[in-house]
Amino acid sequence: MAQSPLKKNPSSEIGSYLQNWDALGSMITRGRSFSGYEKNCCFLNLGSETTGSSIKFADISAASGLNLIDDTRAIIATDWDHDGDLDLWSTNREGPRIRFLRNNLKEGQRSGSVSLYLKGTTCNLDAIGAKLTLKMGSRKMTRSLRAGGGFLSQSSKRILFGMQKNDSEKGALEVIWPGGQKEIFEKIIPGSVYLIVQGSGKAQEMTKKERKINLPESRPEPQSQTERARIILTQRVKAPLLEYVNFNGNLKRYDPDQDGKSPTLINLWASWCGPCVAELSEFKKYYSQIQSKDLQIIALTTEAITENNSKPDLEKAKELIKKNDYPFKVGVTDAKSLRLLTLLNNQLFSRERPLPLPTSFLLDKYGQLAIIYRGPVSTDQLIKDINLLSASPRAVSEASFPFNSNDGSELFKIGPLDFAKAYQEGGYLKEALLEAQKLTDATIEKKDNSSTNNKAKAWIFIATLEQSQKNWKLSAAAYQKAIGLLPDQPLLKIQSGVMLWMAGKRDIANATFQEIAKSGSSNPVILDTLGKAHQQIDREKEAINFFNAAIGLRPEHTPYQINLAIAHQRNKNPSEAVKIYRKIISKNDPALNAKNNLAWILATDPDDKIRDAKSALKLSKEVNQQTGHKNFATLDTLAAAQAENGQFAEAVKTINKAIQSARAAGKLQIVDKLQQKAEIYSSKSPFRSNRK
Amino acid sequence: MRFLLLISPIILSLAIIGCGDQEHSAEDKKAGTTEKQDDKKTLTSIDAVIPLEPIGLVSETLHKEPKKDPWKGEVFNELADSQLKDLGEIIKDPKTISQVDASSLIANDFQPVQLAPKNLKSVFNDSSFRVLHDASPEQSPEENKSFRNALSELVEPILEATKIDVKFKTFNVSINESGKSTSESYVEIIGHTQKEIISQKARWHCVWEWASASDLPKIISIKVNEFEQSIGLLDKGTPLFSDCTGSIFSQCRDFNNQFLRGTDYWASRLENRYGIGLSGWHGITIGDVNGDGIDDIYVCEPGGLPNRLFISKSDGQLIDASSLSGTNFRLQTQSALFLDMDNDGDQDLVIATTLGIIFMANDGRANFTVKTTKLIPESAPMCISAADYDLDGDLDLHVGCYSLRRSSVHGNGNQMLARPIPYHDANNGGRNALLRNDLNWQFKNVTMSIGMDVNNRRFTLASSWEDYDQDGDPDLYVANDYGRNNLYRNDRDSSGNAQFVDVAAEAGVEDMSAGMSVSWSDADGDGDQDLYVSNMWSSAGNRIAYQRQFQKEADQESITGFRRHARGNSLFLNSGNGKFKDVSIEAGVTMGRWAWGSRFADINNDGMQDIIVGNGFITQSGDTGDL
Repeated sequence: MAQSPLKKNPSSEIGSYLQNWDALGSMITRGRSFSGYEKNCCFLNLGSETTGSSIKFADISAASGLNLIDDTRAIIATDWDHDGDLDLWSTNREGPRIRFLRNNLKEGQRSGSVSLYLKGTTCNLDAIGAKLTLKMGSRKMTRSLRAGGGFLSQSSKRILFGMQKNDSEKGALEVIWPGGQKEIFEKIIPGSVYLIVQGSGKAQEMTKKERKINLPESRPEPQSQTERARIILTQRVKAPLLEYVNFNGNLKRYDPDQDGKSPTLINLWASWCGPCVAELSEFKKYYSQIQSKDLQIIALTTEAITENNSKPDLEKAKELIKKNDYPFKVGVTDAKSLRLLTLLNNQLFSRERPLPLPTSFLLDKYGQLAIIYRGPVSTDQLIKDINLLSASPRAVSEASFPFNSNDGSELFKIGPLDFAKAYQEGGYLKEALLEAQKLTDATIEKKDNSSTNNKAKAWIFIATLEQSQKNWKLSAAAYQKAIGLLPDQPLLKIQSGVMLWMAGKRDIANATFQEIAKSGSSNPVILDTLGKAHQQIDREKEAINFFNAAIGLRPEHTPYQINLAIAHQRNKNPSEAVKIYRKIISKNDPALNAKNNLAWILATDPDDKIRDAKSALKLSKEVNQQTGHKNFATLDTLAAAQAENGQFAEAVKTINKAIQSARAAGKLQIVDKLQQKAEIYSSKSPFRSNRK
Repeated sequence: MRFLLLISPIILSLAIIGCGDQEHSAEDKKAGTTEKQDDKKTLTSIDAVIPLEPIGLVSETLHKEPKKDPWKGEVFNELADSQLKDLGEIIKDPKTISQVDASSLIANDFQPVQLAPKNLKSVFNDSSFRVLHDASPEQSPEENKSFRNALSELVEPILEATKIDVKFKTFNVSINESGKSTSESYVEIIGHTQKEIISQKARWHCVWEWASASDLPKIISIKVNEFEQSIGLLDKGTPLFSDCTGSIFSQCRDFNNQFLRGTDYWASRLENRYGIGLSGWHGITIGDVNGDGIDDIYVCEPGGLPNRLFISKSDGQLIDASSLSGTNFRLQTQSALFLDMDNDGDQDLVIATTLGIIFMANDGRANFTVKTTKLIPESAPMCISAADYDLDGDLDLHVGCYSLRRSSVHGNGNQMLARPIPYHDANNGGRNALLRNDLNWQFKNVTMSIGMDVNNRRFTLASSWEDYDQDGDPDLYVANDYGRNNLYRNDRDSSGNAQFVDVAAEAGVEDMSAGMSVSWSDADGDGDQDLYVSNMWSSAGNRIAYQRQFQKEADQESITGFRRHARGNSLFLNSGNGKFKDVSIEAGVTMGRWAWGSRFADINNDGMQDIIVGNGFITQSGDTGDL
């Protein structure tokens, strides 16, 4: 803090400030405390009467027994044992990383407590946001029902009004439900539990469940720290090149690229370290088994590295080697190799612990670190673990994680474009564009399909993003890039044609459409897409031709027929559209789209000869029965049909339902349009659609 | 209305391209690029430490600890602190005080003093607690005692105590060149007897005789400010709260192995790429998942360890349902909520992991199924809080994000030390999001369109909804580390559409500090909702920010900002007119130290909301000194 830059855009000072953060971080990483050994606090509310100030608290941290040193994080208050007082849960950084603290308030101080379960009916079912005021004699207490607060925590939805036995008058509960609706619940009796249902007007008393609580005091002791560990990596890391000197004084090396043909155990030992010597003896004893697994051992003493660079004494190590004549490679490591191994270890963990002796690193045949043993490893374990080196990722994962668990990361779509899409959804278009551009900038290393596809996808994403902002030229250019990567995609070319047309390059667009139409004349999908493309650029006649051509190839495909009907409708030919819809309906069941679209025309067309109020209402009712009166689009049609039949009150009701469903679906622009219709129906007029 | 058949080029592209979507770029590994030194050099058998040569020192210029010159105040503080520690040792043995030789602590001309006020007033008394208080003890010269006698009087209530703790925290020092320097310290003496826990707290203003840096300072005089004695009455040796952690988990097989081990144990064994860091930011949520009327809990865990669902039995003990319920993810998880997201009458589960949000549906019998997940682009979720902000009958979610995502693919990595710029007013953290519930497990990020993308890139640690202005719709308070907090007021328009405006400044609740938690409650009993925000109270921060050398180039506003940062927790009383009044200091609730979670809770059923605060950043054993 003493070196924080003062401006928002600092220049020179920022470097050292950030370096300080990093220095601080690495000191903590290596075991320094930072505002550690602090106790939890509890402040007792003394009210204002006795102290004279507006509000005053006393520190009862020690007196309440809550002054624990836990590095506490989240705290929850809840009447866990249903005895009328608030117990506490906490999560902590230190072990125990979760604690339950039971409130021992005396019987007389809690037997008057009132507990409530809330249930919303028109508001959210949990009634989150409800405000409660309980009046008991002269006392008035308020609570709110919230979801999420404090730090990373949520307290109980079972609301407790803690009260003493002598608060024995009947009370009244006022609830303000989310949205502001106020409701009074009378006859609240101390010591009871109630279910409070929105709109019911009456507090339902619940029978208290008989519970034999069995929670004696029992403070767990944190488990003793040990340095021993067997850590199986789920993502292996390439080992560094290591140099050492053998006991004949020759310089040797472990080269992960050369020596990696068989698995290797790098073992660190010292002659003064009992467990190290025992471990070496075991390796020797079972060496034939180790050899049968094609494992090579390189056992290195650390005794050449001394404090203050004093002269190392290697006599004992030499003696040990001479005496035992180990069948595997032995040597002396220098500071550099040890440092490389330490760094290899340290980069993997947020908390660096100094390496104990012995420590071993098991490297696979590709020279990658697979398992770290802090403390001695038995030969049995070692032999088993060699099998893990070639096991499936799943088996490695199962062996690695300390408890039965599910990964969870596979639940997230984090493919290349998903972040761009997430930005786009939030309206962060600039960020979405940048995210997609990262992909388009990436060089394609492998000329395989997936990377080309990913890059093309990014261009298509950019094209649609530009299109949504009506940047037709930029959109067309992006499509061109995509087409450059995927030259054989006619649908892409069609979309690019639409953008070119919008950008004013109608000749090129036309040429593109004609070329595609020619080459795709036998493909109904291409013809249908060409139809839709022409619809987008308001060339309804051409659209009709393409849809007809598509239908010619696939006569029974309903979606093409619906597209054709819509094109006729837009081309001021509703009677042709009606004809097509009737044909679809006669052949298909339930044909909801056709029925709904037909009903819409029959209810709203400006032409009296085309409108047919009764048929419209009948069709629309059928459709809404199928959709459960929940779809705002079909409700919109029903309202129009009702209005056309003079049932304006029903129409208003229906359109309001549609508004509700559109708002719930977040379609706010549609809400606006529906609200305009609601006004029309309220003034007892039917709705007439405009022809373009 | 017609079903519009728009051409959607996104669908087109999916149709032609199809697969090839799942390529994840590998995380950068910077093997061996940072050189670090290890300073431990002791050698003993297996747990011995390999002695390492100094490798690339963290140079002195990089970490300027304020103890060295020109921070003379810090030099003085260290010396005075060691003297106060000695005094603490004397107090810990109250029976021998009358014979103690205090000549190394007090100056020859020590002025007689009264350390235990005579006129303590009882301000609280029930069957659990007694509190006595004197806001400004008067010292009448005739009552003043010698140092020894004054100490004897002070320790009289704990003379029979079996365990005594004494702690001094010095938060302000002033060096006077004439040789008389002063310090301002909190003094806390706690004694445990058979029947009571007695805690005495006071603020001491000491004048010291200090000639040079090589001398130990000696006390000339002490003025006692604000003396408070609180007594917890024990019931069979137990205070109001007793720890039942062991019994509540006695039937959960994995509990001891997973939870009795601290964060440091796991962070030195689980690969950091799973997201595990040292800060221990993992929450807990409570809800009735099986409809038996009894709450159950879900515990969030660091990357590599499974989150746990514990279901309560009738006797209050827990059984572990993590695997059976399908909720045992080992993704780095910050927080979770139990909510009825689909309005079907049971408690669904929303989990905030570093990768994004997981939504799970409950079948009513505690079987959970993943329904959808949601990425919050660019930032890693920290806290979630729910409300129906648009009052359409379903619950929407606010997702608070602390820091930026490390890379677009992996959200993991140690978040502990963010890089706030500037420290006291940073807006370069993760971007928070409001996810609107569109039913059928569809959620839309509407942050920008509803006006919440304002001041939205702060280092958010907590948020909580409350209709503080009592107009029928929920408003949101957001607590941010390294700077200002947000109060987003919900201004619904005439057609019911919600729009939010950040009114933290005009409402008086910006609370420019290191916000860690948000708690709402009616603290003063006037019917509206008041606000408690936990922050940092740092004795070092207080001392340094008030010294002349501190940020010499800074303007007054920045200095105030830095100082405010070390003040501690804040209590804001709702005035009922859209504004809040900061009563933190007079209410006596600033001192939460390095605070995290806080909660209002009426712990003794007297109708008034008490406050509980969790404290401590990083405690490490075998530590060589607090940073």
